[in-house]
Parts: sequence; structure tokens; C-alpha cells
Amino acid sequence: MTDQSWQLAADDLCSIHTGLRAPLLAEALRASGDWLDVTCGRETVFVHFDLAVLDGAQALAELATCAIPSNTTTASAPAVDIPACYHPEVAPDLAAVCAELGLSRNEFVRRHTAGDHEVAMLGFMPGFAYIDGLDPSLEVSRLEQPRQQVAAGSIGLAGRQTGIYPFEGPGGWRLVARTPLALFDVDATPPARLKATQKVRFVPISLDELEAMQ
Amino acid sequence: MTLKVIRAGLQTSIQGAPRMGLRHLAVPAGGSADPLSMALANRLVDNALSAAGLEITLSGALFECDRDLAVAVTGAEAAVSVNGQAVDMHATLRLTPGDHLDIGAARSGARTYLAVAGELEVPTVLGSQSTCLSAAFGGLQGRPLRDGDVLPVRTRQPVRDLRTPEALRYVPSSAAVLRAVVNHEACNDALFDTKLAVGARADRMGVQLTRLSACGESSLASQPVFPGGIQLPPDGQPFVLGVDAQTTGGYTLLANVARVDRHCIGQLRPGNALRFSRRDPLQAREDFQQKLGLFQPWLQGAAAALR
Repeated sequence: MTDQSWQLAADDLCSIHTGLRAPLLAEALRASGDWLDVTCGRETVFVHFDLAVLDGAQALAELATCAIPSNTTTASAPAVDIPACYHPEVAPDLAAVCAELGLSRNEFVRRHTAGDHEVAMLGFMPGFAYIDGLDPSLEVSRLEQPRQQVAAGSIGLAGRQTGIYPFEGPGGWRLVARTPLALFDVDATPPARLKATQKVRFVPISLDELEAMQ
Repeated sequence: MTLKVIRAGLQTSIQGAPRMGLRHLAVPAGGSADPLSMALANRLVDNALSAAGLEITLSGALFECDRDLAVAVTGAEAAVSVNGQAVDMHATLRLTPGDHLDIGAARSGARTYLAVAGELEVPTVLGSQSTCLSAAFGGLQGRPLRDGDVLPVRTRQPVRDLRTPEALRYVPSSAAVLRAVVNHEACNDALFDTKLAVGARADRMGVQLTRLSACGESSLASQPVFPGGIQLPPDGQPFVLGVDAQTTGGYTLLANVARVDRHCIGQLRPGNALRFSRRDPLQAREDFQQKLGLFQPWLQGAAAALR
């Protein structure tokens, strides 16, 4: 489905399906400063406009004049290293995940840290990254019952994605590692460490290193 | 001067302006769950309409001040008293040192708002003083207030005592009708003109409704969602997204509560009856402009109160 025209998704929301160009288009629209919020999913851009200023038809007309980028990615920024400790003490689901996949812990770590991953989008809680590029042999389902408390920095798996919890809270992903990296800092600009299309690499660290870096 | 929290109640937090422009970083807009009531309270003490005040949920709360302080209470109907003497909501109240302001349990609606003349002295974080509970920043140390908390206030005395004009007193109904616009991808007639009820879960993240005959899909690819979105998970119980809702969701999206009525979501409480009235986007804009026009003479910049 690639109907490349803007549509009204609500009285004050527009959306467009642009395929893989969505993050670039969203970035350009955000930079214009004309909209309350611009955000995108995998292939769709959403624009929240101010109904006190524009009606839907005006918003659609204005958006129609904005060029849709022709390519899908910018010159790729270097991958961000995410230190990850796969020690059982901070990876409560790792043993069960390895047993389910029929892998040793070392082999699991080797496959999870082997190549580049890419942030698909942020969602769920401030700074939480949904990260694509998981080795297909590491695919597992979520917990049937989400945990009430997941520690900040927990790295989890669900389906074909890796996710990182910036804050303590409830969560249903299978926790296989922990990072000492602060992924959301209100005093930083931008406050989120990761963004859509950012490439990342998981770099294994020991429990001692995790504690030293926290 | 300070405002002391003697009894914080179920959930009282500092809320005011939303945080806009940060959804792509998964930061919810947040701010007052019923911004119209917060604005009406602020108006009575001469504050900016989006100034941060206290959002008091269901159970009420008790405060004590140590200096002269003007305040106003709006939103969910509650018995309000100063040192045991009943006082009016929707009116400027002048507290004197040592006064106890007691806000009773909400009788209809879910959230009562307390504005204090001047400014709560808490840091502005990412552009707002509002508390973001999911990521624990803003407000007072990013958390709901607790018994014994002391809130520093830089106060000033408003020139006049005011009362909200009768016609503009928003009193949350126990049988709300919310206008909503169908999502272009997933229209579901079962949602409209059906008597629904608010389920057990009703918090700042959203409100669960009683079961529909239809069921939604799970595990759709997550996509951006916004406050007012009406999702239908596989269990058939629609979920109306609130100001603190997650920024992405993977359930069928049936419709969006139109901006004109979005502030009412923050007043829905378990057991309330609820119905959605179907509007197209242009009708919803007209509804919005009508409501803006109604409030604009009293609330300069009423658009900030209706978001």
C-alpha cells in the first residue's frame, strides 16, 4: 500500500504513507517548525496540527506543497556503541531464551553483538528504542505476563526486535542484557540518545564493567 | 512562602502546560488531563492559563498555607472547605496564614484542579513544569505528591476576586457524550451511538471502556498514536488514550476523540456512562470553533485550554 497523498486521520491529524522515506520526511517537517508534533512509524508520517490555526483542508493543502524526499536514508551516521552486559544477574530471561533457542550463552552473545542494528522508532516510554536487525535465529515471543518492574537500562527481545528500557517500569520483553548507558537525559539536547534510523551495535561488557560505568 | 501537603490523596501531581514537539522521542504531551478546568482555575487567580497547578484525583486532598495566598478550585465537583467552613468552587479564595484548605472526594468527574496565584517554584523541564510520571521528571521530583511535601510558591495577590460565569462552569457529567472522528483506515460502526461504560482502569494514560461486540487485532505494526485515540485491543474493550498515553500503539485504531472534547477524557471515572457521537473532520472543526468562541471572552487564548 503506497497511496502517497496526505489524508486526514482525525480532525487535527494528517498522515501519509511514504514507505521507507518516512523518517526523512518527518525530520524535514519537524525542522520547519510549522506543526505541533511530527512523528512517524515504520512507513507512515503523522502530523498533529493546531486546529485553532488551520482546518483539515488547509493543513492538507499546506502539506501537499512539502517535498517528499526521494531517497530513503541520509549519509549513514556511524553506529552508536551500546555497551551490554549479558551476565545472568542482570539478564533475568537470558537462560530461558538460550534454552528455548537451543544456543549456548556465548553463542547468543556472539549473534546479538555480531552486526549493526537499526533503530526503527522510539515509543512506549520516553527514549525507548524499537531496534530492528535482530539475527532471525534469536527471535522469541514476549513474556505472557509482563513484569511489574523492569530495571532501567534493561535490553529485551520481542519478535524480531531489540528494545532498551530507559526507565524502570512495567514491561513484557524478554530481558537478555543490561546497558549502563543513559538513554534519556532531560538536560541533554536532544534528550533521547537514539533516534529513528540510527545504527547501533551491542558491545559486550562484564558485570564489573557495567557496575563501573553506572 | 509554602503550601504544605497534609493529605495528598490517591494521586495529586503538579500539572500545567503539555510538552509538545517531543512525541518522536516518545515523550507524551502530558500536562493537565483536563486542561479546560486547569485554565478556568488559573483565570480566577490571574495566572497564565497553562500555569502549573495541582491535579487532584478522585479522593481529594488537604493543604495548609503559611502566608496569604489566593487560590481557586475547579473541575470535578467536590466539597471544598477552609478551616471547616464550606467555600465555593469556581471562585477566588483568599487564604490566610495557617489556613487549611480541604478538597473533598470528587462527586462527579475524576479530577479537581487547584490553582495558586503566582508560580509553583519547581524546575521547568523540557519546556514545562508538568510531572511526567512514566519517566519521573518535571513537577516535584517527577512524582505524585506525598503527605508532608512542602511546595515553594512565589505568590502575588490578584487584584480582584472573580467567579467563573455560570455558563462557563465545566461540570463533568456522569454520562458524557464525546464527539469523535472516524479513523480513515478502520471504521467501526459498533463504536457510535452505543451505550458504553467506563471500566475499572481510568488513569492519566487512558480509560478502558466496557466490551464492544467487535474485537480488534493485536500485533499490528506499532504506529504513532495521540491523546484521544480510541483503540480496540483483541479483548474487545476499547481504550481511550489520555494525555500520558504511550506515543505508539499496535492495536486497531477506531477513531479519535475530537479536540473539542478531548479535555473531557481526563474527567471520566469508573462506572460513568459514555457515548461517542460521530463527526467528520470539518464538523469537528466547527464544534471546536464554537466552543473556542464561547470561552474566548473569559479565557484569553482559550485554544490553550482546549487541547
